[in-house]
Amino acid sequence: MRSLFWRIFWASVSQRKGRVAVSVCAIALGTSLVVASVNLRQGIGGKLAEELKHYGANLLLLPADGTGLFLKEKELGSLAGQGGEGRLLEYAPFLHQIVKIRGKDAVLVGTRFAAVKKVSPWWQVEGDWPEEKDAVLVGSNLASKLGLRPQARISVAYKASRASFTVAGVLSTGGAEEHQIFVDLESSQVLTGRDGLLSAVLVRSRVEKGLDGTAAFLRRAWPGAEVRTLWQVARAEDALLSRVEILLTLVSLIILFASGVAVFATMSTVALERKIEIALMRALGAEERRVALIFACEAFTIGLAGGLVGSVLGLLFAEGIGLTVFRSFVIPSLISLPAGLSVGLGVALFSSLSVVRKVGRTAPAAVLRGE
Amino acid sequence: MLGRLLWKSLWRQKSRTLLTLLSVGSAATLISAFLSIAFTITEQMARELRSFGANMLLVPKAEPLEVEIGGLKYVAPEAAAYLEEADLAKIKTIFWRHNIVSFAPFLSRVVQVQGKPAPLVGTWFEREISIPEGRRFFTFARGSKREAAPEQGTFRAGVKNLASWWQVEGSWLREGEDGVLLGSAIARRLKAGVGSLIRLSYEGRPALVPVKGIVRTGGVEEEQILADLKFTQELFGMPGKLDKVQVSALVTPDNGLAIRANRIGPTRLPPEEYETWYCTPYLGSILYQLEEVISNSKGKAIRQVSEAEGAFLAQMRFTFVLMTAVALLVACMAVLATMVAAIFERRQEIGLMKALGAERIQVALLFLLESAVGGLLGGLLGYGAGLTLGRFLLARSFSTAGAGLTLSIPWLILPSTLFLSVGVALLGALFPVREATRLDPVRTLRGV
Amino acid sequence: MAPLIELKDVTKDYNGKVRALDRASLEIYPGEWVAVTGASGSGKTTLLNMIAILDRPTSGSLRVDGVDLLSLTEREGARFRREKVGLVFQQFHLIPYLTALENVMLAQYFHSMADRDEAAQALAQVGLRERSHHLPSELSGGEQQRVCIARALVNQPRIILADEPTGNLDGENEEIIMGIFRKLRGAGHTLLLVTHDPKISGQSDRIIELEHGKILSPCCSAGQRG
Repeated sequence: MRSLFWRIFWASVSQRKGRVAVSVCAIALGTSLVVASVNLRQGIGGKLAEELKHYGANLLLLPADGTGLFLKEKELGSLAGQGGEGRLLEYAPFLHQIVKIRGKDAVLVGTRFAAVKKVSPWWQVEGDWPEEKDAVLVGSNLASKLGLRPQARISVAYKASRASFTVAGVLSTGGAEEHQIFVDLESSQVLTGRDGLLSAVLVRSRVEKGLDGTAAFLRRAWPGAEVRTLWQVARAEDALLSRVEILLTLVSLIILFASGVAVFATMSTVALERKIEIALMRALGAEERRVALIFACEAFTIGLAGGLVGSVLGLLFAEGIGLTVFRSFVIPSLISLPAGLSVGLGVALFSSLSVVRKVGRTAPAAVLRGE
Repeated sequence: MLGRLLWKSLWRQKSRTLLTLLSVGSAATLISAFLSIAFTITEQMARELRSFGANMLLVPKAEPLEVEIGGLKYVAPEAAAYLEEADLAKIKTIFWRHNIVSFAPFLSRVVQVQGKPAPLVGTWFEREISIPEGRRFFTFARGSKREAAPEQGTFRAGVKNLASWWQVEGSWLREGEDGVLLGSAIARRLKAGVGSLIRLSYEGRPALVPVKGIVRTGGVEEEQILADLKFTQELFGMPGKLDKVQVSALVTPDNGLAIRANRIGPTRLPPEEYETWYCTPYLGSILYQLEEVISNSKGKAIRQVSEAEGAFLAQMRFTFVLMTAVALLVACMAVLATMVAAIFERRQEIGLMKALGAERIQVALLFLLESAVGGLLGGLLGYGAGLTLGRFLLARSFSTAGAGLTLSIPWLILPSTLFLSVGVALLGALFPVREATRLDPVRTLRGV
Repeated sequence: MAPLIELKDVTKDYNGKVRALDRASLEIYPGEWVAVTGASGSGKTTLLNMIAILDRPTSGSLRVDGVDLLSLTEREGARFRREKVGLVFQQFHLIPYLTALENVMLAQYFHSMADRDEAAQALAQVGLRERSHHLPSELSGGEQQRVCIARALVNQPRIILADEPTGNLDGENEEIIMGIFRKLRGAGHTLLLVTHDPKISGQSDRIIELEHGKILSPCCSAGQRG
């Protein structure tokens, strides 16, 4: 008895290759869309969050009240050892001092240019970024006041010490930096006699770790520093991310719904074709339950096959989008596979059983007559 | 006869017709919802972001050199240069006035508080200004004349709309109200809280003001004392003067024309290009228009805001375009599958028609027409549903939706959705119809 | 002897308009061969469907083998069909992807359990031993109908209901099919055969004639059969 059941099952699948292929195809497509969108929902949120690095630093470290005017560079270096590398994407140290250039007061800022490029990606430099220890960036307003152009030589005086630098580039940012002059951190420390001291550190934290957690980590790890959240950046990021998340979630839901409906339509069309078959089985004395079992088994197989193919396809779609837009892989989401499979199976079962039910509700005679 | 056959077939086989409509309809819903989101999302996001900081700055042409660290000025500017407060209302008269979301003027000097220097910044917190009446036309070298987007009534300016991230403990200052807001860092140093009185003096002129609120921003404002613009102008003895104006405006991402205009200067563009440039809301052209109305001013892009926004939004749009493409592909395939299945089922019918002596082309015509009607109806249904859905999604995701959506171009979505649904429905029918009409009628009749 | 099939005032309306059966009353006794004749649309097939409860009457009562069919649920109806009735359709209704043997086994499968030998034997009875592994599409019309009959008799039902079994067949196949029916009757099955062909109805014990849903010759009581 079992064996005939499987024979029916096998014959129906192998003899109706075209229809089965169409069904598997439809389910695979629907599932792929669901899997892709779930993966993107999970993966792209994070990827887009990484794109927020364009906003630059979101935390600012300053000397805490009552601990003097400076931070110690040594302590910045020791952050990494305390688990900071997982939380901090990038940080740039700064040392500010008012100096005299060509008889005028100006703010000299010592920093590490490689880090600044990442923390403040919007800086626009006319000329070159400094490479040598004696090369500087001059803010555009300061440059125009002093008549400086790239390659010009300037001499900077602080109290009794002096140093001369070459202008590598002129900097525009639209902010206070346009009034300042930037040199390599060590050069400024030597010039001002403040070895190993900093006046501020700008930090870009990893968004996915949570800003508050990172701020708390920094407070613990560096008691001498006051940690300030740059709310402009933090709030803009929050706003963007939450919008993107809501949108992606809703989009996933639409995709789930629409692809479910489309697959349901295809499966039902295929199953409708077998109305007479169902009615005949009932005329031969089969209970609806047994007919349903036969059809459910078939739908299950088709749903499983389609679901598996679709999951792979969907993952490929998601990775394709990840690679094209972000040039990196999306980490596959664990729930996407069960989600995809259950949509495939669910729709396949639902559509074929709904046809069995529909035929079951009309008299077999009517169906056999061809109504 | 063809019409009659078509109608009967669609009407009699209601459940099949319904399934086709369902399939095409859901695909079209997907397509039009995605298209409408992809078209408008950047705009929506950009609008949303406008409350997270100005993207433009106006300063006097002869911008004095500031010697300032962390918002604290150390040296008074040697040569004073100012903007005029009287010019501010003109900001809402420029060609792209509609795109100005908010702006705020600033005037700041170092004052003495409890014997120590501290920056006092005067600004508008929230100020309702009336927009100058009358239509404005812009004439161009070629003699063409354009009217600026009309706008009427009043406009709410001030930092409150510009800096939504400021956290104020206590209350904001009302227009013309005496009192100050303190940055949280300076408040801590002065040991002042909401309700305390602080004594300021500027060049020997003293003032005693109550603290109305404490501001936390994480930025330079933490070190500043903020007051109403009028109060600072009086204290500094600079009536009607400003240091700078921050402006938040909706802009279009730069393209080739904008980049060229930035490089060689807009006035050197050929007249036609100049007109196009002027009438496109690039960051550069809005800055240029602002310089035109604010006398003696220089416009600068606040690059942190404008660049980050541009980069993020471009990425985001790209993501949605790709997702739309995938959804499009899959939706089309699903419709294809339904059509193939629907016609497979009717091979006997096709066989019968051929047995009755119908030409292949006649049979094909009927079935293709039927599919096209299904595609068209499904497409229309889906278009309506998808647009509503897209609108709903954007409304759920963005607080500013509604206003922005009117700017979008949903008309383009209708033809593309219909084209796709009909096209795919036809394509889906073509293959099985071709197969079935090619078959021997006797074989199809026997259900082989 | 009690009648095997007993209809009393059975009426069937379709969509509340068309009256397919009009107060039909009828008794059929075990072992009888009854032919139902009448013009197209006179309600012959409807009558047959009622007896197999493939369809339910609008009013009236219907008893088969002492069971009130109208009191049966859908499930009990299915059980009644698989145990008591063998159906032969004018359009054969074979499952296209199953072989002849499998189509026969399908009826066994729903009845109790599939038995290959019994199914093969049923096919042999209708003269199709050699063709048992062919798909319906590889069989001629007459052969398909014979598979259909083999499927109907494989469970040894008391009643065989056949709706125009030779309607789609040529003379030669018709003769083969009628031969099978004669054998079945000889084996003691009760046969109810719908036909419009006098040549076929002539071979039965009794003819019931329908016109516009009414039974014209309610007659021919059991006495006639002796």
